Amino acid sequence: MKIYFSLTLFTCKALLKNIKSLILLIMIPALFLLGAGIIISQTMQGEERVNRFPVAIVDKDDTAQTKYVIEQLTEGKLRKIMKPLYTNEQKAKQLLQQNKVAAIVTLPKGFSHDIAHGKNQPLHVIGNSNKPLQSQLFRYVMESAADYTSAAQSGINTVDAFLEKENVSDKNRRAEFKKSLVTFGLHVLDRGSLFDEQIETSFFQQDMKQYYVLSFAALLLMIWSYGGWLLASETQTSPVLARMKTRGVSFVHIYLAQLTALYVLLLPVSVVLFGSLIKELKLPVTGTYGELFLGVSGSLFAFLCLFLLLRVLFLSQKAYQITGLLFILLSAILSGHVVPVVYLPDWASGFQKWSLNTRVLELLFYEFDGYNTNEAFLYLKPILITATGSFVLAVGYVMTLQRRWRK
Amino acid sequence: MISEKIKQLLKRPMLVIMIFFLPLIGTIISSSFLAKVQSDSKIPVALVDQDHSNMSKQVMDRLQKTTEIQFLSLNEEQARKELAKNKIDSIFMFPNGFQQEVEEGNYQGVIDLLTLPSSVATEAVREVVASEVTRLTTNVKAANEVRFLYKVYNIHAGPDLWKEAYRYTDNQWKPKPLMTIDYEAQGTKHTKQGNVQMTGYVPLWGFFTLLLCCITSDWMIKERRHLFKRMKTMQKGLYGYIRSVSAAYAVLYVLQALISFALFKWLYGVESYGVLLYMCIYVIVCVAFSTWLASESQRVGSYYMISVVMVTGLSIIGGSFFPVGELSATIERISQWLPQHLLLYQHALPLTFIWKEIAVSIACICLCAFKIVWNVRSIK
Repeated sequence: MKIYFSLTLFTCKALLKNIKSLILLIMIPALFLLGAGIIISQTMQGEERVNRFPVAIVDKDDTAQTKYVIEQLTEGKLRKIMKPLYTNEQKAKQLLQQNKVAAIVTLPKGFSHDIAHGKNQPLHVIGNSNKPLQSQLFRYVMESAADYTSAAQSGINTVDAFLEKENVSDKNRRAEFKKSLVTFGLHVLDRGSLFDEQIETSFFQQDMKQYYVLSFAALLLMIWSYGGWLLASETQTSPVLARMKTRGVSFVHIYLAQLTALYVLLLPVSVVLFGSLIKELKLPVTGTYGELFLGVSGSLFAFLCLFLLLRVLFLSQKAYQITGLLFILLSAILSGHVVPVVYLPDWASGFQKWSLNTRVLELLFYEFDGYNTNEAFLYLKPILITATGSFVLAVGYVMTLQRRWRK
Repeated sequence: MISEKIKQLLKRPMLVIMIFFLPLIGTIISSSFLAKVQSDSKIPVALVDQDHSNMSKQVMDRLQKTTEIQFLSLNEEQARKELAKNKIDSIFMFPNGFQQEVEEGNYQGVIDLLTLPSSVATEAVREVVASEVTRLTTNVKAANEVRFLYKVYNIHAGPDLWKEAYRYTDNQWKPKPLMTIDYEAQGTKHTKQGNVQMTGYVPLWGFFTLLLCCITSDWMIKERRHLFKRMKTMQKGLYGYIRSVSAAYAVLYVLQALISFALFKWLYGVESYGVLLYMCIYVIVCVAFSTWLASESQRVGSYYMISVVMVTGLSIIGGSFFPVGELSATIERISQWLPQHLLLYQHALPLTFIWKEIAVSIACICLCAFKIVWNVRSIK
């Protein structure tokens, strides 16, 4: 026990001596996630959620009917995400080649005649592969806009066809046709009024920002734990380790001391992180502050134990660095840190079932005005089980290594 | 001296495997993984039919054929419970009297929509539902309009006029709607609606290569204490040594870029050799950047940690994982100043157009080289 305490103190001192690296360990991921948070909140601000992009429109038919179709395609919500550029085919292709437009839409010759006679003539859309997100989004909205134009045009055609069947004069038919263009056009543009929308603010979260704040705070605990082990491995150089081993200090002592030192140093930082989040962002806490402290400290301990297991399994720093990073990326993608789990594929639920990150996120969502039917301990239990499991496995593996080293 | 160093490096099998194969394996696995996540991802939305009319059934049937959205038919209680647990994105409810309201031309607020503040896909789903309902409302509107015009022009209307006009309007959607889109992605014809992968393999390769460059540049820290002092007394000097080691790594990484390009061309069919040029410029920037970062660090552990965070951060903003620049103009402006931007052009652009990216890369190499020399000067 004496060896353990002295070694813990020594590791703490060594980590604090390397204060520059310790501050970098804490600050760089925090600043990085803060930047990512700002980016996400910025993209979430407008309902369009994408940078407004230019689209080239080539009207080869150039009739009043095509002007009406273009208006249908570019008005309303589409105007918020795209900037239409009216040009000819050659110039449009040049713009696409120079990466200046996200897509080209071409209305072919004879388009007006065909659509008025109920004949389908597809619009030709070329998407810019160098802008995959914008071109794909444009494709979806164009398909939806094409449906609306089809709806409006079918109404216009019906009115005209029935008047023609009853031999209404050309003058009256033309007048009714013009009227139909306006009434059916307005009808499809007014599609938003079909819905009576209610936002259920009492459920789950108040807004998306809260989701990402908690999600990134949990990710920060994970990254600190990962980086902490990289720093801790520096505290004992090979000659120091060799000397320690000759004086009866085992691998178990060394790793336990590093785990304790990291926990002691990172816990106050984690508490400060959550404290400032509560204070600055006025996050509502469901239970008591004691419960929240237990949750945060338990989560930090579980992450440290998980990375301890990874550290002892991959003794080479390079191997630990690569595996740890891939593990963080995989967890961030599949556990709901980047995209809420509801939008992830079904097979990802197999990973989520065993993922510590999912459990930590559930606990944090409960702690901050989340599910209000269960107790905090229910969410803390799987986290502590993961921590204990990782700890036991890591210690067992270290003891095996120790025995091999003695032989 | 460079050739000697290359020979020395090639004698280390682990290093050779890491440099030549790790970025490739990482790219192929993560690219197919991200493609699978993207293609299998679905938006779960609940549909609640309280009207049980022909129209509501028709809309529900058509919506359930949509492939990108998972429409679940639930009752109101179940749907509200699922929404409360955040298991679905939103609820679309067809209330009692839906058909009657539509037939009478009262379309305003005819569908109840329940969402959460966290529902991110509601806008897109709303458009899909609206397009199906608008089809019905237009049929009704056209039939009403025809009936009205028959009265205006004193035309005798048969008892089935309204139904006839309704059917006539609806039949114009068969076999195809009046207007459709023929989509082409710069040379590749897509007749069926399919997913386009948002993350290219070349940007992902860029992330793994930069990460590996940082890992292999740790020689700068490890050799500093013992070898650098000796090198100062040699004929070529310390600068010559650092130059030759960095150049040897750069040559190996350029070779890696060539192999990767050949494999990408074989596996995915990269279209232009311009991409290879960008990959080669990029690896040289990576070697310069990682060597500089290592020259700034005193300890291997902290160097690894800082490099991991920096590489991940730069790769995210640079668009290696997802085209984030397309989401925000600010990020787009920042990413243009990062070397990762070079790799975003899956379809190579003319050099005259990407001069900025190339100039940034050259400036980055020069700056890193200058700072390495500066840092090495302070080694005693």
